[in-house]
Amino acid sequence: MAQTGGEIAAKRPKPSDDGDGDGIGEDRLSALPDDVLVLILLRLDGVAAAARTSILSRRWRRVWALLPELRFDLVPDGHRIREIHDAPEAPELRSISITTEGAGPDSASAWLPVAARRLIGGLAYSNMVPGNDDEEEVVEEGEAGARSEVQLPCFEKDTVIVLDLGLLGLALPSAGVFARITKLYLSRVWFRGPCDLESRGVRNLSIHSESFLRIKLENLHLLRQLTIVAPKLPKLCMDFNFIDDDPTEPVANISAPQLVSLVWRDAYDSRYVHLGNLGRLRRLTSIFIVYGDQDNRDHNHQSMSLLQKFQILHSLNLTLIYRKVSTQSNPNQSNHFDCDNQLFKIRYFLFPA
Amino acid sequence: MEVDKGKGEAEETRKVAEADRDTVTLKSSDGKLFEVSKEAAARLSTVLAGMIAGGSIDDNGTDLKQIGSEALENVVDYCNKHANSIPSAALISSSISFNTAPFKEPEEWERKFVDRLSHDALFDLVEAANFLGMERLLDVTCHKISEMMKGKSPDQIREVFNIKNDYTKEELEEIRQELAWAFYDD
Repeated sequence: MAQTGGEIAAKRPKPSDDGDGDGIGEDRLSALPDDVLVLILLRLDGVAAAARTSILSRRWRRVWALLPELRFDLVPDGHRIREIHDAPEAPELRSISITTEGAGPDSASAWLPVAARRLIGGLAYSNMVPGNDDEEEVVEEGEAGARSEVQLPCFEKDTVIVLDLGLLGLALPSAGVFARITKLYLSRVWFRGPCDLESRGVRNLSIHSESFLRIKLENLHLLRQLTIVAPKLPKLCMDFNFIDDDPTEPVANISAPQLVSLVWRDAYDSRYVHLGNLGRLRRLTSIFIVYGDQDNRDHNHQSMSLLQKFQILHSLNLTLIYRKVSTQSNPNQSNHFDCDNQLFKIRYFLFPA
Repeated sequence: MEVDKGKGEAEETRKVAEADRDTVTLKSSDGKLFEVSKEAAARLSTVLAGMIAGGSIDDNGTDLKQIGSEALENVVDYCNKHANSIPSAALISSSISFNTAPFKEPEEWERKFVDRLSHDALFDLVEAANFLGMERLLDVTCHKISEMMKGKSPDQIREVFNIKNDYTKEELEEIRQELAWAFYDD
């Protein structure tokens, strides 16, 4: 074969005599640039295989640490994952995908904080629990708090988080949890106490849980897709998520047949909001707006149609909102509810005859 | 140039014909000419797409000094085959991927295409694909190299690729300790 001209061909040593011209004698692989080697390492079976190449030669010492995506399949020990993320030269990561089997909360707690610091893309963590999908006993609220749990760190840079914790508990930090997150999928997660998802950026939220005792979503103004499948959930609270200027209609599909208490201080358009079977509901909280324009009347009409879904309620809470009247009256004024709107609560207790 | 034959009428019509030509001519480091579909070249190579868009394509053969004739023949061959192949339902890997496009497994014909290459020709092609910004061809060739590494011990990998171990014994031991987790299930 003709090896003529060309910088690449020229800088290589000539093929030696001990082969049949098939590259014996030359290290073509190590001569490739880092970014091509990374493409090759990404295609090996997992991070460990990539890391093992560091003992090939000095050239390979740090190549694996340049991997922008980490995938661990069925790792038994979270501490091993943490060592990887702690590598000082490690670049920002586009994604981490981790599967464990039957891991305890210590495992995830060991690597989640480091992962949170390095990630700029998405995190998928799935903790598989063999043969324990729906035989979960109903746990009282007090007991749920006693469960050991994973402390979720602040994911400041991530955009997608997929967590399937295999019924581990999850504790959320107080504020600023998901500064940039746009999609959050939670599955088989135990939350300790109330669940307040502190993110203004979530557009797409999907919660699948056998265990939730209470879900409260508040002021998630960008939320446009909500799915909740929670067969045992008794309490759901939706506060001011869907009420804003966004012209896109929010879509909600909620399946919570055991729901006893529903707080829905939010837009309710039955074309887009599907609440499923709520035959066991006994307590309902809704809002009405006291004065206002056509928008407010539409809203009140929606609230009324929500109320009409229920024949029997033991308790009905109506929150009346007196909106602040701006001195600079703006006809296009934002239909955005803040907490400083004056709230006025009326509580009715209804007793079945 | 043979590729230009039959276009020798008036200058005007020749210009028009050139603008409408649906192929580009590429010249290897050793001066051989290859013709490739303009559409395929622009679609498969970011570098060629840039040259076509920027008008820096030479009708007498665009010089690609970094690429030998054997590698360039393979590049052109790949482009032509790619243009003719019907994309199968993409075999997207099942791993969850976020910002990046998921890896697509090489198609059957792409596997065969790289399998027939000699060791040197494979690396010539990786370098050419990298130089020309041919993401898909780079994927396919890197996939092939990763297959050559999979399931092999470090010693076996060194042997296949002729990598010289320039570590001292102590250094090797140090790395094995530092990356103990990676060697755990060896």
